[in-house]
Amino acid sequence: MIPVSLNDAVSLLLQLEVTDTGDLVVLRDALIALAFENKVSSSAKPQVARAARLLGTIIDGTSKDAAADFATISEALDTALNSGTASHAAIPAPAATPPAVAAAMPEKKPARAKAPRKSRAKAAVVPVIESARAIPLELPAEIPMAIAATTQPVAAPTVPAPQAETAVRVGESLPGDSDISLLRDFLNEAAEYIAASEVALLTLEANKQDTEAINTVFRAFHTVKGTAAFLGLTHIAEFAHEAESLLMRVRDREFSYGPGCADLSLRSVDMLKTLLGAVEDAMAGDGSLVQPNGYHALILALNGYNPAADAASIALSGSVEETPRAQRAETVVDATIRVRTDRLDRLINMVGELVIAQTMIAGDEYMSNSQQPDLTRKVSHAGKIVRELQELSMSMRMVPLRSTFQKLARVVRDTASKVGKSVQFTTEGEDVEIDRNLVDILADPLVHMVRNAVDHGIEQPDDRDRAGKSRTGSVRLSAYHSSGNVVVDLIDDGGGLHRDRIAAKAVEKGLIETDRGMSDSEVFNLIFAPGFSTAEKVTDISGRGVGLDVVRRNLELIRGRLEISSVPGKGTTFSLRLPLTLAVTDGMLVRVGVERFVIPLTQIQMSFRPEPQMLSTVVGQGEMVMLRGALMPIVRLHKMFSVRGAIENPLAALLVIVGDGSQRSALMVDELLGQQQVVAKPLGDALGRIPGFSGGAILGDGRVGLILDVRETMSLTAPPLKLAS
Amino acid sequence: MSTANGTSNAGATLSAVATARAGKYLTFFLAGEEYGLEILKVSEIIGMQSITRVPRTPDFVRGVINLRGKVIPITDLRVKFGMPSDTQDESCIIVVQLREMQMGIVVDRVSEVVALAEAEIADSPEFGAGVQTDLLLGIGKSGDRVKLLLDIDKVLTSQETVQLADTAQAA
Repeated sequence: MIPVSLNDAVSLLLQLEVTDTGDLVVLRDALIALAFENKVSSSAKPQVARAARLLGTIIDGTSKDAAADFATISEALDTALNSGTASHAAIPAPAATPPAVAAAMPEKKPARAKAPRKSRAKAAVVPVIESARAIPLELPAEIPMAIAATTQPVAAPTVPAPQAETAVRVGESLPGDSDISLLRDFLNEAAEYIAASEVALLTLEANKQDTEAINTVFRAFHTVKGTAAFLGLTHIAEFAHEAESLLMRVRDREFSYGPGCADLSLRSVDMLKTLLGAVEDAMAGDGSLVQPNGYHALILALNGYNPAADAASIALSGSVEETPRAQRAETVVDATIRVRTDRLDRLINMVGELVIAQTMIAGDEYMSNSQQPDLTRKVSHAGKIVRELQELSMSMRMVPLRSTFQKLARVVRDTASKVGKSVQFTTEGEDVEIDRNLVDILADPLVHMVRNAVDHGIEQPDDRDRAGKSRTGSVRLSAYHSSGNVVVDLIDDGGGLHRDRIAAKAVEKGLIETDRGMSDSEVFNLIFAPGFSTAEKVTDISGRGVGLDVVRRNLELIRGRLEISSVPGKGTTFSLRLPLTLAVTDGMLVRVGVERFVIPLTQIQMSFRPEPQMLSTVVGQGEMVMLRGALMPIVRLHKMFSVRGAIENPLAALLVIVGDGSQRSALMVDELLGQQQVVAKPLGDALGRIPGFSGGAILGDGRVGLILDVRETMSLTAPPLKLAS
Repeated sequence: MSTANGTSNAGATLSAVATARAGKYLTFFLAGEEYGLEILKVSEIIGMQSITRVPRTPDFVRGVINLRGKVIPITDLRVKFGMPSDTQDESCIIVVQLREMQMGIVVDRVSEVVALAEAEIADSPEFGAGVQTDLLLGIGKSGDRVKLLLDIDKVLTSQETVQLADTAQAA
C-alpha cells in the first residue's frame, strides 16, 4: 500500500518498525509528495516535512536515536493530522482498494518493486477500518516516477516537479584556472557545513529561540559563500548570499523563524547540495556546470519572502529537483572515510607493539649468532615491512596545513580592507603535515596573529611611502620541518617591534622590573602576557596585545614554542615551533636504582654532576644546590618514590635541573639512559591519578616506563605517604 | 583459555537469571587455597612478565604492565588478601574486564574452568569481625574441593587489604 493521505501514512507508520527500511523509504517519499503537492494544509506541512526528514535520517542510518526519532515522527504526523483535517476533507475520498493501486506500481518503478509488495503484505494485517480510510483513486503517477528519479536517499524534501522544466545548461562552467584539489577541499568542507546546518535547522524548528542554531546555519552559508566566491563559483556564492540574507534577518530578529521560512531554508540547503553536486559532476565531466531546476525560482522566493504571508505562497513558487547523476558512484570526492579515533589509536598501539616484538626477535641472541643466514634475511625483511607500517600508521593522523593556511587568506583580505591597507599574502609549505588534533588548536592562534600582523604590523600605505617601502605590505606564512618539529613562520614587513617601548610598557604594567639582562626575544614575548593585552590602543605597539594571551595559552596547550624576532622599521617574524604530533613526547630516560623514569625533554634545562662546594643544607628546607648563583632544592627521586638500590651520595649521582624561572629543582638520578620518543598513555582508570606521574610510556623493550610530571614532583617534597594499611 | 568459553555459556547464564550465581568459574590457587571468579569477567590469561612498580600506590598494586600497547594496572591478590607476596614458576596474570577498564591480577596458578550449579554454591558463612565476606559471591563445592568464589568487582575496587585467609578452612 502506498500511503496517499496523511491518514494512510499514519496507519502505515503504526505497522512499521525502525528496521523496515524498505517500507520507510516508501513512507518517506510519500510524505514528501504529500507535503509538496499541497495535499495537506499549510499548517500541517512543516510537520509532515519534518517527519520526512527524520525518516530520512533513520533510513540512511545517520539518526542518533532511531527509536526516539521514530516516536517524534509519529507525534509530528499526529499533529499534522489534527491540524490538517480541514484541508484533507476537501480531497474526495472514494474507498479504493489499495492492492489495485499497488499492483500498478512494479511496472512503473521496477527498482522499488520489492518495497510496495512488502508493504502490501503488511497492509493485510491492518484492521478493517483501514479500507474506510480516504484513499484518492487518482494516484498521481508523478510520485513514483519522481521517487525513482531521486537516486539518493536525501533526507530533506527532494520535490518532484510536476511540470519538470528540464535542466538548463547555462553555459556556465568551472573557472578555467580552478585548482582541482582546492575544489575537492571545498566540496568536502561544504558538505560538512551543510550537514551541520541541516541539523541546526531542525533544532531551530523545535526551538525558534535557539540563536546558536541560527548562527550555525548562518556561518555555514557564509563560509560556503566566501569560499565559492574565492573559487569563482559565482552562482553558488550568489545563492548562498541570498540564503544568508534571509537568515540574517531572522538572526537580527526582524521576524521570527516561521514555517515558511523554515521551508525556504531547508530548500536552500537542498539547492546548495544540488549545486555542489553539479560542481562535482563538472569536475568529473567536461567542466560545464548545469544549473539545477528551480534555481531562479528559489532565489526569487528567498528575495520575496514575506513573513506575514509566510507558508501559503511559497510551496508553489518553485521546486528543487535533484539532477540525476549517473556517475556519482565512481566520482566520490576525495576518497576518504571517517574512522573512529579510538580505533585508529588502537591500530597505532598495535603497530607500536609489533615494532617492539620485531626488535626483540631481531635482537635475539639466536639471531645475532647468525647460524641461519636465511632466517636473518627473512627477519630483516619483516623488519622493513614493520617499519614502513609504523610510518604509515603515524601518518594517518596527519593532515596538510593547506586548508588552515587558505582560511587565513580570507582573514588577511577582510582585515586589510577594513583598516584600509593593501596587503599581499603569500604562503609556503602548505604541504607540511601536522597532527589533525593540532590543526584545530592551531587555527585560532594563527587567525589572531595574522589579524594582528595586518592590523598593527603593516603600516598605512602613506606611512609606508614615507618609509620608502612599497605601498603594499607583505605578510608571509611559511611552514617547514626543523629538527623533528614543524615550524610556522609569520613574517611581515611592517613597522616592527620597538624593544624600548615594550619594555617601558611592561615596567609600567608591573610585568617586569627592568629589561636588563633580557634577550630581545624575551622582551618581545612580553606582548603575549595577559596584562599587556588590555593596554589602550594608542601607540603602534599597544594594540598588538589583542587576544595574544589567548594565542600563548593555546600554544602552551599543544606544547608549542613561540619566538619573535623583529627589526624596527623592517618587520617582524613570529616563529611557531610545534611538535609533529601530540601523541609523541620527547623524553629523557633516567635510571634511579633499579627503576627507570621518563622526564619530558622540554622540562629539562641541564644536567650535571655536582661539586662538593655547590651543595649546602638550608635549615628547614633540606638539601640545596647552588648553580650560577641560583639556589635550588635537590629532590632525591629514590626517596620520594622509595626506590631500592639508588645512589645515595649526591656527588656520585647526577642532578637534572627541571622547571623554569624561579620554580626550579634539581632531580637526583643515577644516570641518563638516553633520549627517546615515547607515547604517553594513561595509567588506567583503576589506578586513577598517581601524584608525580602524568602517565606511562611503552619503552623500547616493551616494558612500561613512568613519565614524571615535573611540576607535581617538585611540589611533592613531603616524604611519601604510606597508603597501604 | 579465553573468553570463547564464557561467551558460549552466555545463553545458559541468561536463562538462569533467577540463580545468578550458577555458571562457569575460572579457578586458581593462592597459597594453597582454591578461588574462583566468573569466567565472563576474564578477558585473558597471560604469563608472568616484568611489572613496572608505581610509587605511592597501595602495597597490593604490583604496578603496571604493557598489554599490547595498553597500560593496565596489576593487583597482587596475595597481598590484597593479607598473604606474603611470593612469585612462583607457575604464577600468572589473569586479565579481567571490569566494566570499562581492564585490570590484571597475579595468582599462584590457574587451575580449571568449572561449571557450578546453584545447588553447589553455598552462601558465605559469617565469621565475625575482621573477615570481609561481602567480597565473596559464595562458596562453591564441587567434588571434594571448596572454592571461594570472588566478587571480583568488589575485590578490585575496594581500597584496603582484606582478610580472607581463613575463610576456606572455616568453610
